[in-house]
Amino acid sequence: MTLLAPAPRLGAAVRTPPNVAELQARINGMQASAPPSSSVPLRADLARLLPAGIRQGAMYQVRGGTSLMTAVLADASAAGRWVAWLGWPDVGAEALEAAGLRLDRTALIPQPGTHWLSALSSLADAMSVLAVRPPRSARVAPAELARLAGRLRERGTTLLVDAEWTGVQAQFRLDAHVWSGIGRGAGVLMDHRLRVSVRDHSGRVRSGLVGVTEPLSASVSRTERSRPDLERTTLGPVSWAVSA
Amino acid sequence: MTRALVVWVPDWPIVAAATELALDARAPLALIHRGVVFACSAAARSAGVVRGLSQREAQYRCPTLTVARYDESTDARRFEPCVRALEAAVPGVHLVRPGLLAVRARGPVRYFGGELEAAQALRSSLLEHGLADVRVGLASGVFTAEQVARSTSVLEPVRVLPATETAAFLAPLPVGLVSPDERTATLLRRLGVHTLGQFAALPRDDIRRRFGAAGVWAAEQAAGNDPARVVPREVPPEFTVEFTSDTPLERSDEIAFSMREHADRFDAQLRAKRLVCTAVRVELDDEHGASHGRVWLHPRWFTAADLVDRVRWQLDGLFRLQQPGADPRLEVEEFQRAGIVRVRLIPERAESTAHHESGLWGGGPDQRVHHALSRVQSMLGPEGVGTFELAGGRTPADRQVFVPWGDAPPPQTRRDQPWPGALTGVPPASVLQQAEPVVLCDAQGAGIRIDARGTLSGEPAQLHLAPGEAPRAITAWAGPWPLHERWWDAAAAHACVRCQLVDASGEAWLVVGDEQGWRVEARYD
Repeated sequence: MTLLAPAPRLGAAVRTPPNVAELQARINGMQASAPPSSSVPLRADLARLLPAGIRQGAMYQVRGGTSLMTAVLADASAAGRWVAWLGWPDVGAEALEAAGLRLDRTALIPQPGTHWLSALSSLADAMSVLAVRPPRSARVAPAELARLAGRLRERGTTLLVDAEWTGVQAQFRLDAHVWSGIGRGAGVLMDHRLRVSVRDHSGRVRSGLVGVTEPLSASVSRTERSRPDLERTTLGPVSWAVSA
Repeated sequence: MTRALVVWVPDWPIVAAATELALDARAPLALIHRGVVFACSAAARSAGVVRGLSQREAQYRCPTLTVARYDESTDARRFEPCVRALEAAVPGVHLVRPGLLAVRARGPVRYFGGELEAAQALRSSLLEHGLADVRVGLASGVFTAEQVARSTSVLEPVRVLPATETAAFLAPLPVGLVSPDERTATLLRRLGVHTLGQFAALPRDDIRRRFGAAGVWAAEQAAGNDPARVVPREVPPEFTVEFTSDTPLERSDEIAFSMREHADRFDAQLRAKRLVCTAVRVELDDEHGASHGRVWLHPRWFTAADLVDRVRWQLDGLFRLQQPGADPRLEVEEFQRAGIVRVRLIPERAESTAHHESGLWGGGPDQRVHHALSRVQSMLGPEGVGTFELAGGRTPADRQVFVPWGDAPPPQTRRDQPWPGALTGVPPASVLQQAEPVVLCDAQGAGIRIDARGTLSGEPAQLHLAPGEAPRAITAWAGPWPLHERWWDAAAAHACVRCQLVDASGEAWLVVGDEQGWRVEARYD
């Protein structure tokens, strides 16, 4: 079953100057009842892989882990959109903040259990973006899925699912983690990149490197660097690209 | 100038203390506050004891003197029934201080048909209450009426001063009665101003220049134009709602169902006063007489349905108490499974609805967010939904705090402090709720141990996450970083080493090792 997202209103965008269109997009982002014509902010290195962007009211499959999901969400949250994590009991708050998410606009429902689908449809009313990891045994009937998709489309809520899911606009897949700063018995994980491939609606696959988190703030690392033992063992950036 | 009626109970602190301590108010009695006499009975006064005398001096002047410590709360508490007695006779009573009440004279005068009749009627209402000596003064302004009441005697306990005689009555009184403090009174006397009449005659501009606004206020009082008004006291309304059940209830849905109507009443009472409740204390009494209380906060305000939810959550928490993971905020002594016989809703914080009015275009997206999250919360329980706060600490789990939606964030350690030993570099994407035990082996498959100096017995090469699972090959690692926390406190001390591992699939792990073995604390996934 494939659900087609409604076509963007091209005529309106052409006639109005760009700054007005931008403002309209922002207003639409705040009003969930507005038609889902605008897109959700996406960081530049991911937007290169998915030129169509992430649309409001659509569903996307994001497989590969917390970091990839964080990277997809980061700019939407930084722009002030409400984001909810449904079914992620172990999310690290510091990683979210380091990726640019606003923690005061990030809701967490760590263990929705069997209520996950009803919680999901409640949240669809209010949140801008939902990051969902359904329980392993979860099965969604096609009728339920259609109802959910309709609700998301009506409310303009974007759904990012970390599971096999039908009716998605695009699929994000993590191919490999790329670490730097760590050696054998030396260094520390300093830079984290993801090799991501995105299969868009037409089936075209693009892949590339996506940065996730900047290292922790200077104030924290400074105290750590003042430890001479660590200073000596740091070998400088060593890249370890490991393919999955 | 408003006519005011002042009811004065002479030596009220003595009357109150004598009743409280079961002493005879006619015997010599003095109340001591900060080492000096604060109040004394008539018998003591006739022996030469005056206010402000040191205790030793007072006892020297009157050897039979009984000395007690002055207690402000006794004063106020004992006077409360007298205020109610007067309030029963006339509305709008202003409690100036314990022992002194003021009432606007116009109403009672019209009702009782004359100023003297009104004064006598109010006096008799207090005499019926059991007070021995009550004086009443009626004059223009509260200050003048008080001075009139003080000028009465036991033989002539009621005095009415016509408005025209106000200035003449006040003029000979000492200036110390109006001066804002003792220093000003002394200064005025040194300047040759001894009476209220002399003070009132001074030009107001000069008084303002020399003594400021407080001086002008005092001069107006001295002239008989008391700027103070009678401010009737307002008894705060009682909003607490109590539900009592004849049979002990043991199921939370039973209680929640019975509570619905009471929650509605609680809400309606507050709304009638244009208030909303943002913090409520729910108290549950069980059949054994134990009481369980908890304060619930709300990010907006409590509706009736929210209150029922809170009662149900608290009951669920209470019934779950014997299981691990019980709510530590519940204040319970000696819990045993018992039916609930009483539920009380006490508003901890009530705010004006004006501060919570939604905007002209609705409350914006946050109102919707709140509704959605509350709905999920009523599905999953209070801990089911929340947000993160960052805190200080050395382990990733210490550095984040999950705050249930609507709760106040708990007091936290400061994040901007240095925390030497905290991890640097990339923060872990996943922080495990429960650290999972793992086995870390070297290339030969032998378990890696940590010696007393915190060094590893070999190079980590394999990570066994679960007993049945194939080991993961380690391609890169960093550490070990020793961590000694709270070594000064034997109970909380914690020593371990930490390593970062990158396995062949590219996932990275933060493992912690100590005497108990290795555990995964966080994952970089």
